[in-house]
Amino acid sequence: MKPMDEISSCTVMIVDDTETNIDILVEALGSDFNLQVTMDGESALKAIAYKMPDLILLDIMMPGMDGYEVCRRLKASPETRGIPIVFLTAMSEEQDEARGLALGAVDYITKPFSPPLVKARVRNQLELKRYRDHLEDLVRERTRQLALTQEVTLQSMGTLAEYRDPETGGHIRRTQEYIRILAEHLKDHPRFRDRLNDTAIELLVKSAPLHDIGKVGVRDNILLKPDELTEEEFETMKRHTTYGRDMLLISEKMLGGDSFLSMAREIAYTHQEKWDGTGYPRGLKGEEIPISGRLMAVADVYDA
Amino acid sequence: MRVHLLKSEPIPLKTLMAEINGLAWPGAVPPEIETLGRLIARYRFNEAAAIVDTLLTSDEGDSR
Repeated sequence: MKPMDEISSCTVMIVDDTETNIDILVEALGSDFNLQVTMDGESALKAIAYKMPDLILLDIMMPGMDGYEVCRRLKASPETRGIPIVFLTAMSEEQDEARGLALGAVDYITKPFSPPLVKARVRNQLELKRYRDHLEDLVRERTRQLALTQEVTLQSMGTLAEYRDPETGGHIRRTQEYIRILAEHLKDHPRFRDRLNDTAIELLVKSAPLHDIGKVGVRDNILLKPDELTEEEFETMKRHTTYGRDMLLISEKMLGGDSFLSMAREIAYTHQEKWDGTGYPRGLKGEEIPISGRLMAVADVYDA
Repeated sequence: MRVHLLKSEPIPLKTLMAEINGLAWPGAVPPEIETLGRLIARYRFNEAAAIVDTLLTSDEGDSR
């Protein structure tokens, strides 16, 4: 809940052509809020151009432009459509209220009104507006934090794999860059357009450092062996693709749903497949290999 | 005063009007000031703004 002093610094505009109604509202609201008062629609729009209120109490039947038209104009403009409008009117028919609410008003109060009730409703609407205004900032900040957490998580896991196999020095960073260049080049191609949009490319690039994460599961005497691997050792080495998939799958399950790690898992599991089907672990062929695995394979071999 | 008239802010306008009415005038209170006070009290800010503009213009003319 917002502190009271923030709500009290809000400005409420009263638009009514009856002086006594304005007097009552000024008396009821004047000690709690800043006020703007106009007696017709045109003047209200003019005053709003000088100072934007936080809420408008709007009469409907006024000489010249009526309240419905004022509301319609305010809701049509991007600058003013967020101002909550409460109709305050003698028009008590259901269809009048329905029309007002359909135009975007947040509340509809009929005359004669109780000043304390109007005050309470104004306060409620102002609190709701504060929540709405802050919600967007909050979502933006949380999204930024989430993206940063993802990036840091992927980067640290990738660094872990690199530490385990120091031979690769710089390989991870270079392959990441190659993947970006390849993906950017392919994104406008009709065959890849639907799979390689900007978001997918960003995730692909962030996930690429995890392609060899499974190597942390390969014993040192095989992973760091300077000589050529025996057939049996090579079979063990080949398991890094399934190790990588399995460890990322465990993390994915913990995160639940559509995780950002699914791309990394796909890469870890398929980056050793070959177009002609002679790769591993599953011997996938051609288009059976996901695009992420194909791009990683090209970048990996190019940098080897 | 003009800025509050443009923003249609009754409370600062009433405060300003009270200050003006509290001043000692060299003769009788000018009729424009009385009209201004009446218009502000009745929330007729557009008309009040016109009077303020007239007063400011005549003031500039006097000082020349």
